[in-house]
Amino acid sequence: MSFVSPEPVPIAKASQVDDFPYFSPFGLSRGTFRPIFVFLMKAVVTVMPKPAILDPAGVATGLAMEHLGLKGVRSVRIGKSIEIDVDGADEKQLHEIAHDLLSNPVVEDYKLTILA
Amino acid sequence: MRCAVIQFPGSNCDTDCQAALNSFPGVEAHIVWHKETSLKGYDAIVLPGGFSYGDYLRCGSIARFSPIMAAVRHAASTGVLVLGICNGFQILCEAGLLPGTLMRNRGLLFRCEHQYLRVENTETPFTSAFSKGAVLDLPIAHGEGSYFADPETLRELNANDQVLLRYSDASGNLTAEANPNGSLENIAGICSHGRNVFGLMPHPERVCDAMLGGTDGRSLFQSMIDSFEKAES
Amino acid sequence: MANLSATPANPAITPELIAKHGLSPEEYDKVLSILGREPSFEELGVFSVMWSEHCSYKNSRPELRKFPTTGPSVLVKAGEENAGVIDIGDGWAVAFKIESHNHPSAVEPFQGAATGVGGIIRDIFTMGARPVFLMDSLRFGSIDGDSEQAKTNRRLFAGVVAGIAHYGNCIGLPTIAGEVYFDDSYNGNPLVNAFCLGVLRHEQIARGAAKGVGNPVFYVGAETGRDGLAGAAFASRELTEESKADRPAVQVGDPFREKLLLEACLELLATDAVAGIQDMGAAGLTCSTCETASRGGTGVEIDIQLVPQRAKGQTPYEVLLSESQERMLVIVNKGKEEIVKRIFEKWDLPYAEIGTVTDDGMMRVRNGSDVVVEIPARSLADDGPLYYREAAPFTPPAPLDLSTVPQVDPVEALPRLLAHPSIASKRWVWRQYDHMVRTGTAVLPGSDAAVFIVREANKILAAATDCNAIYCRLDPKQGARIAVAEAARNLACSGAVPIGVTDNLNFGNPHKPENFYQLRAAVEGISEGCRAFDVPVTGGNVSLYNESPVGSIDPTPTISMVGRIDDAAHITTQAFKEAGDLLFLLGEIGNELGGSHYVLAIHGRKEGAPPALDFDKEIALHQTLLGLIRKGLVRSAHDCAEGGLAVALAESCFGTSLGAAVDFGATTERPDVILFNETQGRIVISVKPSQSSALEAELAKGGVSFRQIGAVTGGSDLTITTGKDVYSWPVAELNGVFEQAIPSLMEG
Repeated sequence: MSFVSPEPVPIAKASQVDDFPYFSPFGLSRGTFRPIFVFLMKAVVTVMPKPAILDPAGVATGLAMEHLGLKGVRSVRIGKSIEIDVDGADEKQLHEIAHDLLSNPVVEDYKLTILA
Repeated sequence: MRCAVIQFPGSNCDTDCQAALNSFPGVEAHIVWHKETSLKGYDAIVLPGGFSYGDYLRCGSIARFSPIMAAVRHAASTGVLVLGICNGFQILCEAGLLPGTLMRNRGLLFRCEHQYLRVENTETPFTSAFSKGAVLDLPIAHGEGSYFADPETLRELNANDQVLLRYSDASGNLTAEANPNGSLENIAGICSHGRNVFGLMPHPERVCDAMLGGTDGRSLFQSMIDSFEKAES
Repeated sequence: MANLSATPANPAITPELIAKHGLSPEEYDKVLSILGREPSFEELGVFSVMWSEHCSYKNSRPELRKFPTTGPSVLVKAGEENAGVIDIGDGWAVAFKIESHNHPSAVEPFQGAATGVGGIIRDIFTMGARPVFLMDSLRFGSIDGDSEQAKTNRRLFAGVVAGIAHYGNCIGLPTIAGEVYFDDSYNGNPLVNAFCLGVLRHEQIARGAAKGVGNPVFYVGAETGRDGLAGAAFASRELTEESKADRPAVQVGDPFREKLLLEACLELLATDAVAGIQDMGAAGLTCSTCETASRGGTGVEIDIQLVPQRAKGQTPYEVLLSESQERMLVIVNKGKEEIVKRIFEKWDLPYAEIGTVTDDGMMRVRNGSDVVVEIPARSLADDGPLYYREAAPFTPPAPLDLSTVPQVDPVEALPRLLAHPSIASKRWVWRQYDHMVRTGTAVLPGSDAAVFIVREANKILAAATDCNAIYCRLDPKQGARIAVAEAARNLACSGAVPIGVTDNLNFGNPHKPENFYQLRAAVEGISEGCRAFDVPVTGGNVSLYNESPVGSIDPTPTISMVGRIDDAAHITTQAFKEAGDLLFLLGEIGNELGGSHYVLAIHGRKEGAPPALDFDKEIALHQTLLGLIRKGLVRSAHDCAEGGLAVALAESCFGTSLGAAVDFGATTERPDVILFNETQGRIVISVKPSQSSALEAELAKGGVSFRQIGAVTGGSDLTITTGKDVYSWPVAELNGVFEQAIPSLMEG
């Protein structure tokens, strides 16, 4: 099961982000910066373990599901959903926060969805 | 008294509990694997501490579906003594055998240290050997020990004297500083309405030997033995 | 035969590819001569990891041969198996070892430290022992201040401690002792050394040899994924900006799986099904396959397609080199396969029969019908390259010139020393560890050595881990000698006799002659110390290349020493017990400030010659102390280390909040010299007044210098008099500073 992001939103390559020679499957792409001024912003950041990384909680939960009668469980992966309600942040900032604080880029990917 | 100590995948304090129980004359404690389906012939059941299923998803959330839990539930309904220590307490809450839930410590860090507790109610099979208001020293070791229940449940617990232990200071005062994890009303252990199911976050089995730092845990197990012997006679 | 046509999964062997695998042209020539042909891509990978520094110790093995490893109590000696085993009497034995996970922790501190703990635990239960406790030795750069580096160091420190707590707590093993030091030489290169000890009966010793031609080879434990690819090779390279991009090399640990694996393996070992067992650690399946074959004098053939895998489309190269955690290789006695099935199904763990033991001495790996690896097992495991590096000549440091060290008022200096994170209370750390599980910890963290009661064996063990890296920076051989002496002294203070040592050697790039001198000198110093105390080295770990563009770490040869206490009545702790008890100093008052924490913390200088050490005097001191303890004359014992007498006295006051008054008598030395010098061979003991004449009578026989220095007053202050100067501090204030130092830096 793959995690699909909604329409990719062009974002800036955040200035503090390390130069990784890879892309996450979440639709993060390098693009040109277009300032988007939003005064009241609701956003959701979903953080998931990277596909190649072992997710011990997911493995244990998958086995438990099988024991509860669910057949053919191929994979379970567990992440977190972070709901943000903030004044006056721009997307670039949110991406930075998501990358630097909300996720651990060593083992996790994040997806940022602006709701309003 | 025949005692079953349930061993879930990831239980760590099962042999500790067994050793502590076996140190009492007349007690026979057996480790029972979680896939067993019968607890016939056991006079008391202990769900020990540890990290059943790694504490994955939520503490105790997977263990509550273990095959043995049907037998635990049945035993509890017939009045058999059921004691849940730390992870055992979490499993009992997830299984609905005790109300409320245990959440992440307020300080967010795992805490292992000795802790003072005040005994609130001695009219139960688990606390009869204590005196009311006594201050005990039992160690805690948990990352998710903050007791939470909705206001209605809390009201009922208090009205029915179901709170058996609260975190306190050395003099028995229920202060915020003495609360290691942010539990509501400093709740450290509660029992069921019928009094035969008891869950607590501290570890009594770790203080049953003077060489290991204390013996306050002995009275808890002694209470269970006294209650069993009274029922037998 | 190996499929040599170039494909993306099987690229052509070019000089660039060889270099990328960390093999020198000479090493590659050796490969060609062993195989008599070009290697396949998989074979290149196999040689690359097996001959990496981390797996082969090619730069350090010649030096390690200097360790004393034999003795009447040694049942399995260093280098034979995954861990050494020492007899503790009555048919019981202990298996213990220390290992590092430095480089992964620099990149991902939580998982790096967690998997380090997981790895060392497996090394112990693969010997057939039930693990019973853990210790750790941690080093970070300074955590004080607002610089980017300090913030990083705080993040690393918090992450490492959380990772160790996560793994140790979940698997149910108490972490009962350790040390944490902070020094800027560790900026960019934190050190995470994890120790584990397990208990077993002599007849339970299990070995990692592929015995019995025709026996099935089983893989048990977690599925293989792409974790830690080329991790062993990664640890053998310096950390640079480029290596940050190698981040996918970090493995994620699953302590729950390992708990299941531990129980399942111990259950399996209790049957007659196991001919050999080996954990899959560094270099995973590759290492376990060729090492078991090499030890058994046999060959092992496995089929990659039979290996349980968690990711799709993994190439044989990836499966062979993966460092997925929580896996074991088990050589099963033919006919007993059902036992494996029963036990691993009970514990819900993956398992698979993946191969057989052969008689041709080859490590052979198939991918279905294709052979992708075919290498003589011995050449991989034992005949790897060996290097005799150049050691730079050593110039002993000039002794500290006291005239250049301005005196600081001890009233101010003592609290500052106690607040230095290397000296301050580590409660913030060990409170996150469950140090009481398994109900055996008789002496909790915070005293000189931890004491653990093994209920099932009715034996009492003590353990301590020590290394003063400042001394090692100034004079590596002397620093290493002192590390051994200090560990033994800490054990003596708890009432224990040393029985064995495991070492973790942490150094910089061995190609640099000054670093290689440090390695050689440290090994020689440790060897001298162990011979003097008559304790064997049972095994250990070498971690090199702990270096960043800024420089190399201070040489840090961590010593973990295990001891035995024969009677529970001998268990001794450092806290003063009762007002009125008299205080004695065993050893000299001393005056050596070289390399001291006073000069480092108060004056910001790492300078001078480390203190002198006399092994005969040290041994006499420990034996005298143990004699006094056995006669029931000692109420508390604490040795003097960083910060000297003043810190040792303060620490002894803290445990029970009892003040003390001490007078060192007439002297020509400066007060700061008396209070903070780090002369070796000194222990402060307290004794009941009614027993002091018996004590003095015993001491008079011993040939150890001693003097009565004062008493436990039970009041609120610690008062120290030296010459005509009197200094006084409220114990509560000193304790506050000592306890708050690290929490205020980490949470404030």
